[in-house]
Amino acid sequence: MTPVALVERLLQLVPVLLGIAAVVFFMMALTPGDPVELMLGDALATPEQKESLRRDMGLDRPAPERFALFLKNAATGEFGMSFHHRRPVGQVILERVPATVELTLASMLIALVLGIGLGVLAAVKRDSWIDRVATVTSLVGVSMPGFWFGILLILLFAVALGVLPVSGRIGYAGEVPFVTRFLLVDTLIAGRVDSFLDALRHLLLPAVTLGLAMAAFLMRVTRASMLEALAQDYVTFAEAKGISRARVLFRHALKNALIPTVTVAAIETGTLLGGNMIVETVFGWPGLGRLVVEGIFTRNYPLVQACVLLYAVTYVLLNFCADLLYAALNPRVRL
Amino acid sequence: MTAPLLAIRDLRTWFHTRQGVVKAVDGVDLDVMPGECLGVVGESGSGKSVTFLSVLGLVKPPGRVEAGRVIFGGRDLAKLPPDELRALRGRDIAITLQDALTALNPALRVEEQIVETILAHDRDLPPGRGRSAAARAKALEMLRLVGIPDAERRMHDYPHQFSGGMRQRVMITIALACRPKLLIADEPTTALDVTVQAQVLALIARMRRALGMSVVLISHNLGVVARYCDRIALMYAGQVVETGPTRAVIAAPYHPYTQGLLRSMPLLSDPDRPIQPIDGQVPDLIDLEPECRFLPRCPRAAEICRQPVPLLPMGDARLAAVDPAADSNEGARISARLAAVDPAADPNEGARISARLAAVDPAADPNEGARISARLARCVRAAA
Repeated sequence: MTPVALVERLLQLVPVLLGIAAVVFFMMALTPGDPVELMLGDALATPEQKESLRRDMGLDRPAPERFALFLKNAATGEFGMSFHHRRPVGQVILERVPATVELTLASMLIALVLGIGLGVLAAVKRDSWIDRVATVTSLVGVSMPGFWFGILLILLFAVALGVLPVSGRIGYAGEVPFVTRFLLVDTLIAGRVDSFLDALRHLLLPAVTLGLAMAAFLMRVTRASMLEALAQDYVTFAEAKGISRARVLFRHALKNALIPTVTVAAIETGTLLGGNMIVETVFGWPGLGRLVVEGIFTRNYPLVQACVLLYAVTYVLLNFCADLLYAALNPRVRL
Repeated sequence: MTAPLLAIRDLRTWFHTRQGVVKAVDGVDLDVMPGECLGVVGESGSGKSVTFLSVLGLVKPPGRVEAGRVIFGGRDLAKLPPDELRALRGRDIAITLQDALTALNPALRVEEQIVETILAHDRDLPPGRGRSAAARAKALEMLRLVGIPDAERRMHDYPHQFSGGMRQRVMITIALACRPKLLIADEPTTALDVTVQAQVLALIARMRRALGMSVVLISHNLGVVARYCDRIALMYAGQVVETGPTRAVIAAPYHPYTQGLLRSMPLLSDPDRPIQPIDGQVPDLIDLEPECRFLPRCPRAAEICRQPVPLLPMGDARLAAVDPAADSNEGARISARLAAVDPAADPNEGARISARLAAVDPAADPNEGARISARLARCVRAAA
């Protein structure tokens, strides 16, 4: 990729982000409910106090003026104070990001290993019982809503069997001081193997909930692209060379089959972020997704706007990564 | 007489589709002699490629080799365990496919695609660290041998960075990397520009001499085969209809299909000769009647053609699947009539053949009859 193409790509971000900022801002402004009423709604506050708070938060100004101010501040990296936390929005968000990234990475890992592994297996053993079971299971996995599947997992492993925790990131006994806020890292920094295992146990159910849905999707993509690759002349020619079966499958067929799979996986990671909102809420996972949901319920305008912008940037960057990966895997493409 | 390098006997490869069983290859007999170039000619769908993919065990489902023997180096490849067959592929028998653009892996560098073949088979490579460097050196040597300019640098390129002719050379390099005894070149020129076709054919001929290997040249182009092959085999609808020395077959074809093919080709020596296409089309290979497959299109069809027509010896080391009664050719009639007789049972048969041949053709070799007898004996044994 040339530097020019890179700059072009980054410039494309500007209109995308402007559009998203406008949509989010005005949708929030149009949503019924008043943040001041929600904060001081217990009738003890006088109308004067409410008016004062409204002025403090800038909510007495007309919406277009507030939007202009928001854009101006956002351009300088200033997203205002979170109504609820009374702290800068950026700070609140940054505290929550590691939990979400940790969950997303764990889900990705599960999805990639299971999805690609089963997809290859199903394609190689086409029309066998393995293929049929994998295909039907993946259909179930794709169609099952995450919140419902998450609750089922909780009922089975946490309630009925009692082998895994219901919610949260770590038990009280295992808490360690924050360094990176990635608990799997922080517990190791603190030298607490027991805490590490506890964090891992907490991570398992939400990661499986998120990861399985995506694994099911990736499995279908992998199976289809692997079947296509296996039917190509270059696979026949590779077999005619007398090289090992493993080399034919993994070096010749899979390398080509992975091109669409990896691209789809990178884009789908954005979908994982969306799925996070539900799964983090179900599992009480203190990440970005739950923060946004709470922010929406409390009409925490600055927080929600900043979070959605962050999602948008991430999504666009993931698409960008998908393009880079596609070019890296496919020598015929030059960006 | 030397034993054939590759002997295919009664090979049947069928494709089990929803519409029915497609008998793509149905009772093929072929020999490839050491060092010779055999041309296999036929239309699309005549079973040329499937025959030789079957030899290598590379037919994919729903295709399956149903019956037949493939004798190579004293072993029946059709019965070989997969591992032993794989060890033989690329080392003893190599194949090049029609279109190098699709046969070469687009995602791997040319170097890796050559070197992996050498690493899989070459026993002379030093063990340990020098192994891949030695394989690389051999790959480079072969690339230079097939005439790729600037081979050292071009090894690092991907297939799409080569021109069509150069890509074909790269594929030939891979096939020849382990110096096989037999190269199967499946339509080596079809995907190429006319100007490059001759270069590639000349390269294959040159490499055949340099490596002392046999070549099977599969083509739908009778002209290409006539120019480069010692012997020729014509296939029609999954069966061999005629084989023999190239010159003899082209000078005087026995089978009406061969005759039709030759009449449908323009001649440089006689550009005004009208081109006669063969009427009709290749039969659907599902639910075939046990009769001559060329029957619906044959100008000499007769009642006897409603029975299966086997390949019969025609003398002169030739075989053809024609009904002798319908054939106006005297020599064929004699030979075919004799096919019904077990020559081993009649010690005077050879002499009588000689006499009859002499009656037909005064220039006939007096030993011809004895040779035909021997051939017939083999045929009868094979039929038994």
